[in-house]
Amino acid sequence: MIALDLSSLAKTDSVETLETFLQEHLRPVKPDPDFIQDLHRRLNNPPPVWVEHRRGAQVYLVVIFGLLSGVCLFWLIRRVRRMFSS
Amino acid sequence: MYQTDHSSEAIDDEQQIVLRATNGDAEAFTILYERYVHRIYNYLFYRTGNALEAEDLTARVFYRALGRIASYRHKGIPFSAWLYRIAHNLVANWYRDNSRKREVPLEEHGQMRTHVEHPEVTIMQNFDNEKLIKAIRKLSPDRQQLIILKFVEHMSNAEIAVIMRRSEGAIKSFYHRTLIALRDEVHRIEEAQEKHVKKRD
Repeated sequence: MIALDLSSLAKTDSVETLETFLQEHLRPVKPDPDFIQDLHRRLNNPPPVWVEHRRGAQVYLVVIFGLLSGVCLFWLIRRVRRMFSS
Repeated sequence: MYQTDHSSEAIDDEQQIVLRATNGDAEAFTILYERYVHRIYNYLFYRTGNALEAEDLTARVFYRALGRIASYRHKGIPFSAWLYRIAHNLVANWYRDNSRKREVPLEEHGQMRTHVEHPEVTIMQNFDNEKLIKAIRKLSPDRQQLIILKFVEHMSNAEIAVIMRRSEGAIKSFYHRTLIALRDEVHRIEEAQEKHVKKRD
């Protein structure tokens, strides 16, 4: 069988010739066996997943404490300013 | 070359294996992995044109399959079709994320040849392969998929129809249009190269 080349293929309009060319040139490729084995191993032994528990109450307390501190500070600054101005 | 066993016994056997895998049987999933990993890799290699990207995406396909296998329900669609759909979606995301269609390095085509030929012949064939892959990868994702399933995986129109969610008749006409589109791409590439050679001379 005479092997087709792409330049001669480009000169013809026949899709059948292109089909033959594709059959001749497109072949399955072989993946790296180490990769196949390694992936298999990783799928069988997935890495441990760490689930972080919500620290709901603590987070709310910190936020409330921060807000209250801010309000107190603001109130204190205003009071000091008034004292000095009067 | 991969052979697809269409016998009803084989289909029943596969359904049993898939059912076991959906129930968390790791051994069953291993069987499915060994059965399909080469095909999925091949599909992704031809879609991305890069062995490393193909490996990365193959791993993602099987991780996703493992994560979702519990919710897999057999609705007349083969397990392979389900895997190819995952691969198709992941490669679409890959194209979108990278916003590029990478060129296939010439040296990677060495893997495509399965027999040894005269060095000059091999060089010419590698050169032709590179241009051929370039032309294929200029086609739409669906057309690329069709070419790979047909010529690399050697699937029938009926099998391709299941994977691509089209009728067998639609695949037949889509296949013909795809060949015409590919031929036009090959013409364009050859013309561009001829112009380049003339300019250089």
